[in-house]
Amino acid sequence: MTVLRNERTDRSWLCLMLLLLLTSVGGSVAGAEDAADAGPEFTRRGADSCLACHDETSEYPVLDIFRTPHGSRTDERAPMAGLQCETCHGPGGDHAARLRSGEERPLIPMFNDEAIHEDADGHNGVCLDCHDDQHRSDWAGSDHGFAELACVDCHQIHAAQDPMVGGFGEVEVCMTCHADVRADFMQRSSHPVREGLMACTDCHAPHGTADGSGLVAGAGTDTCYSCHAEKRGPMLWEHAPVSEDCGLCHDPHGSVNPAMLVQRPPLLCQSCHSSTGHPSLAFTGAGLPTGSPSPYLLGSSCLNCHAQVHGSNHPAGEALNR
Amino acid sequence: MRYARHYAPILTALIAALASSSTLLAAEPPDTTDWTCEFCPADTGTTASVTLGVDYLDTDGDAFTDFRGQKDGLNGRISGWLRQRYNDDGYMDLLLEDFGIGTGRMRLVHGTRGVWGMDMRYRVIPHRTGYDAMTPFTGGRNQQLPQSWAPGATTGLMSGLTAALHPVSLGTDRRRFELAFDLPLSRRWNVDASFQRDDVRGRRALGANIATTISQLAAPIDRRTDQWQLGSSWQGDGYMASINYRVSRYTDDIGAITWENPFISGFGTLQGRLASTPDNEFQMLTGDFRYDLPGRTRVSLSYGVGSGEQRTPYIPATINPGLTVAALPATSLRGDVDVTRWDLRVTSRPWRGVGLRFSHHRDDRDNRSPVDLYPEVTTDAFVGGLVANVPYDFRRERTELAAEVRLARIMRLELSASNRKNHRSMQEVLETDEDQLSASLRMQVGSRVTLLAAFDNIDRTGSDYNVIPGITDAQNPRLRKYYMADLNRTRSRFRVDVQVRDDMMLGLAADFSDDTYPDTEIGLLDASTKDLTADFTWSPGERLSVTAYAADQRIESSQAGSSAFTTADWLATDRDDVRVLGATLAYQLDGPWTLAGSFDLSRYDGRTDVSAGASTPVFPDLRSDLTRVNLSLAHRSEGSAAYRFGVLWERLETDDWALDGVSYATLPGMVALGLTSPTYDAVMVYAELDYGF
Repeated sequence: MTVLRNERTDRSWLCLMLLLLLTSVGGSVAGAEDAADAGPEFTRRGADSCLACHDETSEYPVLDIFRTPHGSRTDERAPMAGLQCETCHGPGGDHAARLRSGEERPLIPMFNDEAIHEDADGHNGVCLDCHDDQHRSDWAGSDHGFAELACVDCHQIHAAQDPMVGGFGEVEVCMTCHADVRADFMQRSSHPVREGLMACTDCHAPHGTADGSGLVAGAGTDTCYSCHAEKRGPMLWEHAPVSEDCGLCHDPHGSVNPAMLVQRPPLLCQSCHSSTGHPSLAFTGAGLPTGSPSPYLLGSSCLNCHAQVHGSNHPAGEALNR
Repeated sequence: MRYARHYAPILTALIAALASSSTLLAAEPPDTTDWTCEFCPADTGTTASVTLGVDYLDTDGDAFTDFRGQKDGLNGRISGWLRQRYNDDGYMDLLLEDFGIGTGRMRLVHGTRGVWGMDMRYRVIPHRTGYDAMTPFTGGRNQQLPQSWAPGATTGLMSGLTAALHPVSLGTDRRRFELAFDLPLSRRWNVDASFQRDDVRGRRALGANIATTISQLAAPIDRRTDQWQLGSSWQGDGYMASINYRVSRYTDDIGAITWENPFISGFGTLQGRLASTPDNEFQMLTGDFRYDLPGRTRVSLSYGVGSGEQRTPYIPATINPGLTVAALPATSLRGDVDVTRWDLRVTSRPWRGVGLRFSHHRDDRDNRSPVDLYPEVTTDAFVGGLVANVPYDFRRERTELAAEVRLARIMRLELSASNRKNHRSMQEVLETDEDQLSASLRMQVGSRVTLLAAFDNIDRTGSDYNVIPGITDAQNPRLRKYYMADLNRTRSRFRVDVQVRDDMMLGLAADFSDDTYPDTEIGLLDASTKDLTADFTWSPGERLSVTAYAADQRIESSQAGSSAFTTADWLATDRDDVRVLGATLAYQLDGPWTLAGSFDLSRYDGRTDVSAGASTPVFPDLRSDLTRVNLSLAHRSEGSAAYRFGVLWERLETDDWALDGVSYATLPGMVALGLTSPTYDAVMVYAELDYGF
């Protein structure tokens, strides 16, 4: 029963046109920049030139990469099956060349510490040459991508086990930047991330999503439903904010209130409910066990009666108490 | 579509112009004849490791076991991994973690690179949701009182209550099984499929009332959710197309919960009955298309259609045989919801250091469930008239234009403007319109300091605030529900990252947010947060690493209410202070020993003041103090065996006026579970032996 009329947001199209106009000018410039960019020669022996120095005793040991998918020499998609180290690092002829006494070794063209953050987007392009699949298709418009984070800010390509893959070490990596979220998970009520039973990517898609929310199944409720499908309904008696957005009442990173609520009942409920037969009474300390204990205040507060706050399918559940 | 039609020729011309301006680099491939990779180590064979762990836990509270699974006393567990690599690029990894203590994770990854891949996972999440619960009820979906039970008008008059009480455990165990396949049919074409099953069983506290008397039940939970997904993608030169189909099916094996009324009822109600969550099914088909234009410009379009249904048969409107109730209009809701989503996004980096983003997102929930008249039966006690159900529709639209510019290599400016429209049916506000302006500036000061300043402003207005039809109890006309009310929000964030030395980083951040609801007389009036955080890392060489973090957060809000259903006659203020402090240390001692330690401290203090007259009794402060210290000593030599000893001390102290002092019979009209606020003092000594093969 759609009662909503379709509307056209004309401003959207104006913005789109403007953006395309800008990019048409930029496209020519970017192309010209690229054409003028000439690089060094490739090494003579490929990976063997690199591994002559970058063994386990090196300041930059790399041998563990052969324990990862990148190190495969038979999977044609793997860099080691192609131009080996130089698939990602670019032609390393200058870097691997013999030096005169006192001469400083030129940096490898790509993924040296200096270059990465001067042009994170360009470096990410190297990774995306292979990984620009459906799972990373939205990287460019994601908050991480737009902020020019480099893939290697989170991923360890040469490590035998990248902590971001497999969900067993990613939380620490995410918390490096999201320190405020680390504090949230220390609160009384939170999802079990601190205990290691959930990972950030159970809910978040750090490579971006089509709707821009960065949530694995989109904004609103669907990401929550992937674990809490019992709240999906449709119920006979719906509680409108439940169907709209779980975040209206819950803070999924953690809260000082029970059930990750953004505010403590009864005040949370009273911020939306004050009806004729059931006005929003002032519940004070007088309702504590030391005074006249009030069922509106103690225990589960409003939920002592309205227990089906996420909706009810009982024919007589209009007040969400059945 | 006025503008779309008008500009369509221009759009076409632009795309054509862009395509013609593309310049492709033709890199000269090197001669790789001598690239034999003779120094490259072969990755074949089998390696494995097994870790046997044992711990002794001494705790005086069950809350320690929440999300952990250990029991008081001796616990054993096993972890380990098996890694197999084959000559044909085949692989198999088996990982076990903490099996044997009520939690546990398993993962099996198997396949041949570039040919197929399988990922199977299993994990258990134990979650305790209430402590020290006692109940006079027994049973599952039929909650029964002892045969000798003598109902009372109040809990104080229930002579058999104390004798009938027995402990009951509240909480759930979630068991999740996941299986995913990945099949690259060619370098361009990929197919993937997955299945996930969640079984959740246990008990939860559930309020059940008959008129004004309440029984707090330890209600059973038995839920299963199955989710399937099948997807395929095609990667072309400069474009990508994918299609994805997913299904979710939820089943609840409880159906309804019936309980015997422990109170003497003036309505002759000997039993009450609640409905459990209804089964539901949802399926969605999504198509994504992406096209790359020159100038590092990408156009992405995603479109999804979904439908959900709910056909769970109704239970009768009342279990009370003494009530005469009109027939239900149907045997089930026949609930149907259609979902439509589409997203358009254009991103571009036309010049180095310049990023542009345009996006438009639309999400429509069309609840097609029929509206019928249902007999109004209040808590199995008395019958009213007829009342219609209200199936809610939503439509959300969000449009954003953002630009990111790098200035002089040390400065990065990001600006964005967005508009969010929420359309609702059958609610007080049919449309809210929210404009957001954001700006952030990141600046590098010298080679060691990075500064960030960011500001957001949100201005939300709505259509007229109306009393909605079909709701029996009208809301106070001065009330403004906070998620639909007019809102002004300002938010500012500041962050400084300092590389104090080559091996030392310090980050300081401050985040301030202020919300005001200018048209609200009753409801939430304002809210604010102040958040200060600091983080620190120090790694002086390979032998020592130290990290630390601290946070200080204050959340405040005020709201007004009306006991008399007129103007505001009470005001409440909430203030929550949270302070968190933590540190970790790892130190490689001489020889094969490594010392590791962590310290976490969380202090919460919450105050609620309700002012409703000359002398209003105050609430005691809410409190939650968590302290945790973990120390371990690990020994790893060049042999196959390694071992680790450790001790964990953790203490949680909480004060919660909603639970403290609320025993089984504290409330005259409520048989409570007697839950207590979680408090424990726990010491766990543990040892692990790790053996590698």
